[in-house]
Amino acid sequence: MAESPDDLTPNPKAPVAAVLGLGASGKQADGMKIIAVTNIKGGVGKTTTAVNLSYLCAASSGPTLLWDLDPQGAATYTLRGDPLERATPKKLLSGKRHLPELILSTGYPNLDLLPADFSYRNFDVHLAERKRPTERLLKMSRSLREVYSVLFLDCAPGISLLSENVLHAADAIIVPLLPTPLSVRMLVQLQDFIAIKGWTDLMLLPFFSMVDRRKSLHHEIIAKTREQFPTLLATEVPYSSEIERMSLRRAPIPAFAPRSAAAQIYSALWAELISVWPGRAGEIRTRLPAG
Amino acid sequence: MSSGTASAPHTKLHKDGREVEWQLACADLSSVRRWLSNHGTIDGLILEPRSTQQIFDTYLDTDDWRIHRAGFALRVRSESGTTEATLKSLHSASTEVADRRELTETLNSSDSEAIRESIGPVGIRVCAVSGARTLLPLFELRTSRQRFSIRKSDETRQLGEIALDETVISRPHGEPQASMLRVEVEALTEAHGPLRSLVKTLRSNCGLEAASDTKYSLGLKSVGLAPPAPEFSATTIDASMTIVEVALVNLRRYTAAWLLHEPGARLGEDLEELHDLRVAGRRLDAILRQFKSFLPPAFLKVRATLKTVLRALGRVRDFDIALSELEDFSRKLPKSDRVGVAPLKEHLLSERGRARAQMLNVLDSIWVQKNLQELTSLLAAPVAGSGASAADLALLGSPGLIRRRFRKLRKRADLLGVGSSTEEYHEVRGRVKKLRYALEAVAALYGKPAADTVRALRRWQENLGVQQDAAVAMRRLNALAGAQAGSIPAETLFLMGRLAERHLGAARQARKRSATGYRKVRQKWKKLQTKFEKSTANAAPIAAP
Repeated sequence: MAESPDDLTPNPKAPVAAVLGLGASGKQADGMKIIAVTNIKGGVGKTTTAVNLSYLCAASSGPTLLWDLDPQGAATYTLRGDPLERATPKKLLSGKRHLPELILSTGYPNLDLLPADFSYRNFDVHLAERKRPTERLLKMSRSLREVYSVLFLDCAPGISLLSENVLHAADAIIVPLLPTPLSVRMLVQLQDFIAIKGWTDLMLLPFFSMVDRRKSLHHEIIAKTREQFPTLLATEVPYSSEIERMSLRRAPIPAFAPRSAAAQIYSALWAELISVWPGRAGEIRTRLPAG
Repeated sequence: MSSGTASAPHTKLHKDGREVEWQLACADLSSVRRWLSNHGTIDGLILEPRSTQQIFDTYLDTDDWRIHRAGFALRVRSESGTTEATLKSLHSASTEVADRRELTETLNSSDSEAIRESIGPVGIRVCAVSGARTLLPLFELRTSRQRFSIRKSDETRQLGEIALDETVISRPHGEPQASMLRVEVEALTEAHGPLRSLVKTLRSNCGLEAASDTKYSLGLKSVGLAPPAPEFSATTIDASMTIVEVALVNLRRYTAAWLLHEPGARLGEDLEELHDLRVAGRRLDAILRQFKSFLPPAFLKVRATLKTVLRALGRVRDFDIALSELEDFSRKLPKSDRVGVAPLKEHLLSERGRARAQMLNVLDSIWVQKNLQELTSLLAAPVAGSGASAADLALLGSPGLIRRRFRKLRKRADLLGVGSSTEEYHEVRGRVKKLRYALEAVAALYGKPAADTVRALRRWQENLGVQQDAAVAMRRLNALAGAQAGSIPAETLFLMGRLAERHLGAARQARKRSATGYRKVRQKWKKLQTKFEKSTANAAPIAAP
């Protein structure tokens, strides 16, 4: 049975699988947690989610690193990353360059950034050339464990060898879903994929994003999906111009508008996420940020 | 005197100037008040009472005293509903009077984080120096200030101001610890002469003495705070030391230098601070490389971090040099030719700004901070060497290490000729540096021959550096001309060509002298070899336990 952190109410939705010692995927239970924000579809709010949650995580849980894996570099842009060093996937995978050489401060306490590079569009090509191609991301991230409590991965849309690496490496997958039938279908596919791989220690944490409660279709889909997937997070992120403004302000919403409704939503999302997180006490200790 | 740009009232104040102020300790302000009341006009100066102010100051710094180490005191002042942040230099340009650089800006609130959010002259500097470190209050001052304006009897402009301060010093949000009475005479214009006479008169008539402490230093003493002494006091190496002891002395020395110069390099105003920080970083890297077989593995993890940081520092340094060379080049041009310099200078300044921001982002990352802190912690504790040879005398073990470096250098240097490429010269320069740093770490053990060899290596390295600097400059000029050809004025393009030609000329001259540099190194090396042999023969290995 999965354990909840000591100071938070046990969640009936918490998955049965326990993280004890080495998980089924070969990851260590202790140390840095890897949280991936992913969806096959683009434009669902992955980067917005990754940036805001990593900011909140840094504020409450200690040293946090956000790795922008999307060659578009949206998270890098939002956090004003201006890399001095560049490293292609080829050099990273061959060990000629290492991730720590690329890390930048974001200016926000406890939050660092691994900026994206346009050459990441070729990641799959180079992964395919290596042995154990689905395990390379996890291997590359090992050196980060000494310093960071949490590593967020902002993933590119689509299905690829890189996304398989992400699923293999992650302890939890956050999946922003649009309230559409195709989104739900994608979720089923993802769930089945994880089951086939036997990754019982991998938490799937979908939530609805860009929700417009004025639309009856959104109501219907959300209600129906909740019946089908009881593990869906309760927090829903609405479609909001406040959230859209993030890319103009180029900062996390809790940083530039801490009292806004949007900031409250993301705080609630982070709080809910932590409450369902399995594992021994102390792995991600949080003080929920003042709302 | 407060000079510099200041904006209109009711707008944000940004000021960067100098404060010139006589600071006088006082036992009894009432006697000074009486004297001022009775001497409304003195020596052609009119002293007019102004309103009394109630001022609340908080002095702040990071937990590792970065603002102090950068040479400033940071103060947030609340008075009459406005809040200002001020950076005041700890260094006075004069011993007679406090003549210090002062930067001030208005803040939106008295919260210390408001400084970080501000983009004025104080906010930018505080962010650069403090990085992600929290600003912590050091102490608080509550001052009742009675003011008198000073002007000449035949003028309306104010020459200065006398302030009679009654100050209480407290711990942050805590009980009063001390009090202070002070008379300050501040100059508001360049005309110090009349004020100097007034101060002399005040001193003799009111029994005032020059204050021995600033409010900042007195505040720190009153609450029992003191910036820590530099870590790792210098230690010289001697013949009794083992290899690992010599390595640690060097590591401590250069880590101390790093800590000393980092705040100033972050501030970015004194170019030599960045240069000195780079030197410390390169030396640390060289020591870790040279003694890697003898140091515990924990030390070697820092090398990767150092390399990343050094690249970031190097990029800024390249622009510092380019701007300095442009300044020098421009000074020698006829005035009519200088018009083309401005666009190039603007471009270099913009790129330098970007490189500095990138450098700060690298320095401020949790990864870098943790690794550098790790190095400091490792050096603060006793260290056992690694490997059987760690306990060997440095006198015995070092020559082998140095000779290996020399062989690597000679392998490349023997092949250098007039027709060799810039890359080949650069490769040799890298090997000269490595040999020089390796030898410098142990030079004290081998006396004059080692010192002479180091000197010859340094000169040769500088000569080779001229070529490398020229190559870097040419690449930059080419890239700029190519990328922005349409937008660069013709006179600037022409000047860039002349600048490139100047670099080429310097590189050609340096190349001609390179062979001489190598010859001198070989001459000194021979004598050093003799010294190595004598030292090895005379030294006794440490007896086994």
